[in-house]
Amino acid sequence: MSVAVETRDLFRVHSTPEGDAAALQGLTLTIAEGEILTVLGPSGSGKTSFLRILAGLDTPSAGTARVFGRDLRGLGFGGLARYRSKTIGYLDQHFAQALAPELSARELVGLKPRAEGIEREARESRSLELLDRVGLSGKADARPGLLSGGEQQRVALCAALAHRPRLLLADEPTGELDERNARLVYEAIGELAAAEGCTVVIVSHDPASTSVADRFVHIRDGRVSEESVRGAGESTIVVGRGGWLRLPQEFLERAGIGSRAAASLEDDRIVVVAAGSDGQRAEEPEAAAEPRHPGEAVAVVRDLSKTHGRGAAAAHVFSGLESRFEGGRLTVVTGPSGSGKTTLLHLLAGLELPDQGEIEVCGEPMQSLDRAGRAELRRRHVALVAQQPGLVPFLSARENVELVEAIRGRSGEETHEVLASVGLAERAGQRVSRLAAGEQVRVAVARALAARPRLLLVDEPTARLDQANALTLAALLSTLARETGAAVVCATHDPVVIEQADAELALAASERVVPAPA
Amino acid sequence: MGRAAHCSGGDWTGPPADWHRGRAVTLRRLFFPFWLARVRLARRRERFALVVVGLGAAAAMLGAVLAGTVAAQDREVGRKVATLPDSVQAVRVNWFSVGGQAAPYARLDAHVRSELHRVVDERPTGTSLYRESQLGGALLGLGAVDQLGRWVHLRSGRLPRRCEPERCEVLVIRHGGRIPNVPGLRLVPVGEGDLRTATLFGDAVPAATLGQSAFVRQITRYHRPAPPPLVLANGVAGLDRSPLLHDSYRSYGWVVPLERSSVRSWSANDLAARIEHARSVFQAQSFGFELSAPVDELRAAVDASKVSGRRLLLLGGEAVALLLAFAVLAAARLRPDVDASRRRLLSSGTRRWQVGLLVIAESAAMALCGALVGWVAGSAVAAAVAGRTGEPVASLLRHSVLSGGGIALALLLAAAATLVLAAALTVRPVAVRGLAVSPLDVAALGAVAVVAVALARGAADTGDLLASNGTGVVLLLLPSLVGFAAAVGAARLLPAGLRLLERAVPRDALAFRLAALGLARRPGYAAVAVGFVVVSIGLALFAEAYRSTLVRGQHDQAAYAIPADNVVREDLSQLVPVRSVVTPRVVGSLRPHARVEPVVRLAGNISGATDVTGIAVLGLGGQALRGIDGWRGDFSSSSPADLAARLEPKGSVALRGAPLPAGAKRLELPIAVTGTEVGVAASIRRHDGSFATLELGRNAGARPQLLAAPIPPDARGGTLIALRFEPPPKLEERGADAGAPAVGSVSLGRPRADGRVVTDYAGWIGTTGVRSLSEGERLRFGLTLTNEFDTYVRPRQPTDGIQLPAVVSPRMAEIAGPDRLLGVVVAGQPLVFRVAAVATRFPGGAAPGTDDFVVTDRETLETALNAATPGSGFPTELWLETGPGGRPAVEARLRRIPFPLLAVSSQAALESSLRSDPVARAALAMLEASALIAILLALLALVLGVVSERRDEAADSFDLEAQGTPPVRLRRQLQLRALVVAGAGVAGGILTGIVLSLLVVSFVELTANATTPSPPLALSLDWLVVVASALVAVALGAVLVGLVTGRSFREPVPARYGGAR
Repeated sequence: MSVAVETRDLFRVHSTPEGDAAALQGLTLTIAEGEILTVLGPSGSGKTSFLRILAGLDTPSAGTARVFGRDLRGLGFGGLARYRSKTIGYLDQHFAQALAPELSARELVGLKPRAEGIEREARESRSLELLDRVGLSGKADARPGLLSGGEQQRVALCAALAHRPRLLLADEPTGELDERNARLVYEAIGELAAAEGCTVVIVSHDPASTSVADRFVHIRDGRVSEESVRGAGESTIVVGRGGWLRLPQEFLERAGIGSRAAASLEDDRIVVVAAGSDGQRAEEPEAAAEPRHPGEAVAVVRDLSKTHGRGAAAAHVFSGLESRFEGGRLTVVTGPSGSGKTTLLHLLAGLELPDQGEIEVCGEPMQSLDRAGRAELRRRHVALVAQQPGLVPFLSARENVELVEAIRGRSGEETHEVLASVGLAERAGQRVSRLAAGEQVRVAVARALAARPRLLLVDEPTARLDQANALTLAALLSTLARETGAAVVCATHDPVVIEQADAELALAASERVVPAPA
Repeated sequence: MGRAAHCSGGDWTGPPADWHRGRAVTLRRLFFPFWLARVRLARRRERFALVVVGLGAAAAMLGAVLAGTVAAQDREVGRKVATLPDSVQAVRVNWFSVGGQAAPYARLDAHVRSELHRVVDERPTGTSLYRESQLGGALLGLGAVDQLGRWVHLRSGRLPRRCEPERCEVLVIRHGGRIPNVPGLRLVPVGEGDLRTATLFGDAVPAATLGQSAFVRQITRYHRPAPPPLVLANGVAGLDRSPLLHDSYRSYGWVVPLERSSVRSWSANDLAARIEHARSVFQAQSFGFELSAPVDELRAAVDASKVSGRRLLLLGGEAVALLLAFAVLAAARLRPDVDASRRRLLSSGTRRWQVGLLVIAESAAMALCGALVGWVAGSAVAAAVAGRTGEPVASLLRHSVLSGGGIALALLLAAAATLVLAAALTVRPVAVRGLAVSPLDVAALGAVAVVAVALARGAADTGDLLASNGTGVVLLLLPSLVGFAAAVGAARLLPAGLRLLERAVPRDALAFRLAALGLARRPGYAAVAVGFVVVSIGLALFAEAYRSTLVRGQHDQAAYAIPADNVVREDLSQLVPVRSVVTPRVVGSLRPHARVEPVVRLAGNISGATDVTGIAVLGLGGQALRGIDGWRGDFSSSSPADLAARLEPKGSVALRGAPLPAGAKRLELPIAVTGTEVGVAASIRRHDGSFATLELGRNAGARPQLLAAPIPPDARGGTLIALRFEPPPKLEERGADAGAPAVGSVSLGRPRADGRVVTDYAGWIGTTGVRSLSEGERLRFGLTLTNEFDTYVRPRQPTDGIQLPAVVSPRMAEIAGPDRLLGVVVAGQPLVFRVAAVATRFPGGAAPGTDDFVVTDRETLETALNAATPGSGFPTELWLETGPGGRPAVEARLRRIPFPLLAVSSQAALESSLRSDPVARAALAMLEASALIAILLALLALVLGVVSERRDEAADSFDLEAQGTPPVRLRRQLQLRALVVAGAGVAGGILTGIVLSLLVVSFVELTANATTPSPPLALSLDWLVVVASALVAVALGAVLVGLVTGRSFREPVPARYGGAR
């Protein structure tokens, strides 16, 4: 088996205003030619840095990275350009940004071959062949704006493979897709990679990405910590040079190991136990507190219908939707992309109007209010945490919260309290631009909480978070619902959040509220 | 591992199979960016259309400026040629000889016509002139003209038929004697007429009746003998055939009048060169030929128009600056799209050079389209304007926008716009010690350095503009460089300023805070918009300030040259002194309508200083000085009133003398002289201030005598000012006795007029040459007479022994030195002035070739001069200040006798003439237009800014509304954003405009009429226009922003943002 990618002791240190930060700390990994490898890891673990180095877009601070036998550090400017141009195919998470809106699917797929000077007939047949393989031959002349998210990502996949690269690098390829479309894209990657014989590296924190992988590895703190091979059972912990290994957090918590541990050799086993007094066993989860205002319907929707677009382009989002959202409860709205999760949140916030049906928030029928009236209702009772909250990057977390309090006509006395409630008391004075992604989401939540809303709407809050951060945030939302008595409605497809919910409104299948799993 | 075997990478990317295939691949790779650019431009044309329109507007402005410049130059050349006398306004070939020496006329005629055809595409008119020939015993002026009817105006009779010697009909142009009729040439007068123009014969046949009043004809005729009659025949060849004239002197002429159509600014130099070549050809063939044409005048006119054209480059520079600034603005709007495209292409492995080529191809396509559209539009505007003003449209366009240079300029413009667009779309800042520095910053610093170096070279005057191409380039670039540096500076300062603003705004001014925050969050487009508004407003203000400065310069120039409403001086072509014709009665006829101020203007020099000559010595009355026009505060720290106070004499300075009894007709002077012969003359001052000299006679030996002379009627009742003693005639002849003075003793009895004593000599003194003067019954003194000095005895005058207080030029003050005394020889008399004040300039005080002046009190100056030489001090000018409503009456009076004998200057007429100058009008009109366009573009940038922000900030607006911000507050914060952008842009623009105006005014020493300004231009701002324009612009901006924002956030629901559904 020939080696496609080999990295040894890869280090990458980024300089930031707060000092140097190590994204990779001795990452060593080998990928065989033709292999499909998934790299899993939480945010900040070094996945993207690893991928950028393989793509020739970044250079390691130390260590070696060899691709098909060539040391990337030895390639000059021109060599790197040729390497990126011929050897690499790159699939981005943000397919909407990756596809030129003015080109058709056929032109998009044929773009790279055209840039390479491939003659027209070969280019055209290649484009159609690839589109056909992903089931899009019928939409070859459609521009991206007329394609669904999944379709766009499949076009992007074809475009990444059109010039027959030997190495396909996929960065969170399904990060903006629902489960069904994600599955379709993974299938397409698997099929096309097999057909083209390419080596594939997928970087993701979506466990579903392992479905097409021959092997997947976990990266933590810039090193490979665990590895699993398809069909080989449980994953194995990777032992790094010098005996470094990283134990799963769950093992440490269950073993009550804190900052110190003692290891002993017993027969052929190494036994690691807590040392010192700081370790403690993970406590059993507290029983959920009773909601402050259980059962009170903060928002009610009746016979709700909504259609986007007109005429032939019209898309029925939902129709006849009935639901109620109670205070003190976390309700998750689930469903595939296009099922209307965000639309429902916007309808509840009065940012959109239904085609038919009624919406009542805090006893106020939404249809009876004009745009200014709905803004006033939101100002008093409703808060929305959008997927891309409009935080001001050069203001601190505290100033961002104070700004929204000013908008809502509040005094700002509760700023510290709400920041503390989301765990940001220590970081309140820090500029938002210097906070981590998870912290920024928490600032957005704090900003919403400062309004003391009776209806808190949260849209895909964990889309850019790793699992640990997602878990923390989901717990926070659940706790907030109970402690504040607000009805928290969260649009998500993240199982971590769904697990914490008191109720689920599944839009795709049955558009009804079903009890949350016990 | 089976999959690895399928890997087919490299099938297309490996080395080409053969050379041809490799070349085809390379070509396809090269073509790829152009294909992509075409697709992007075609499918997203709405995004790029605005760029094209904006660039086109600026290009149109430049094209119109170019065409307008050529039109103005052409009109200037036409105007200059039109001011030439008719006699020289032609290309004329003359041949002078006697008939026997000349080639046959027909051969000469054919040859000359052939040569002239190469010079001008007009058929010459043949002439011949037998000046004052003796025919049949009579003197006659005889000539012939081909197609005579074209050139004469019939007074009576009819036009002559074609001349044949047997019967040669003639037109009598001038009477004056008998018209002979002799065998061989039968002259038959058939009518009388005048030459329409002096073009045909030039000075050879003076067009005596043309353009002269009857009065002038009358007084000029007085000096000349009566001329013989002049007759003109119809047809040169016919007259030439007369055997009687065979041996007569004659001059043949071939004349092509220089019509406006044949003299154009773009062809005048070529015409001059052809004329000179033809002259050379004629002279090489025979010395009998003489070609005359106003070649120097043509070249001077072209040069003058070139100067004005170069100055108009400033306006072209303004257009370029606007264009490039708009390119940056447009690039800022396109940059997100281009950035996204570049990211996509690079991440997909497209080569960097291909991406770069894509940006350049798109930029070039937009720039070329804009330049093309603009050039066409500019040409259309120029054609429309040219058509209205009578310019030949096709020729004008062919020699301006559609000339090789014009098209090259358009292409250059497109190239510059391409570069700016491409740079603005791709350039990124680099971190230098924590500071982000972009190439634009470096370029802005470079622009400042270039401006500094250009200014360090010194000011550019007409000579520089004519001689130096470099100056023209600097002028073209100056507005761009200053505007660019200002725009970059404003854009760099904006983000920090916005954050400061957000901090400074009261917490409860929420809309304002949100506006400042919104701008500070993404200052990119706002910074560019502010930069563009800075450039636009700066250039608009500059254009208006420069226009206002030039207009004021015209007024200053007129008032400085003619410091009263009208100035009456001696006409140097007629040499009639003012005082001799402007009598008190004439002055009295002006007084009801005007204040008449007599002024003394004389030339002075510093004795022995050969480099200080031609000093203007002005004697002004206090009232004239206080009310002087053309005075500017920068001339002196003192006001005219202050200066007048310093010059005013403390007491009376009236000339003293002994009054003659009224009606006395004879003046007698008892005298006894020993030792020499002297002549005695009495200086009598008439009532009107003029002087009469009475020659009383000479002594004959030493015995007492009574010298006497009759008093002329106009001097009766006058004042005896002095008695002058003249040396003997032999001494005057400067013969053998030269060098030896005449020495003697004089005893004067009291002068009597008709027997009455005129003076007892009390208080009389002697001047140079008089010694040991003693008073008593008789006045006794010794005399030493030479030809060097005039010697007088006279009453003591108030100016004796004092220095005349004067306002002087800086160089005069420097010569005066610390004791502030300045000796100047004025009208041959040494006078001592005391420097009372210094002024850099003085209206009306400029003398040809020098800026030196000495201004003093008129009466004091007159007395001092008359004391030294009676009759030498008198007013040489009259300054007329017209009262309200009196101008028509004064002007009517000035058109009547005796003023046509004098040079009458009108300040209003001069200013009007300056303003009617086509160059000046074009410059001012273009400045007005460019100011207007700049303001409109600033408004466009403002509106585009609002539209862009509404679009680009939709996510933030959505978020704010989601937090409960009502739509009305969103609208307000959008309006406040526009206000902040406009405020920052206007503030920077005002600063830029002032800096640019100061730079240009100090750098370009040119008036609106493209002449060197005297006095120098002073920056002026017409506040009324500025404030009115500002109010209109603010109102228009408010309306536009209101229209754009008023419709914002009014939909039932906000525009959707927030991710996937």
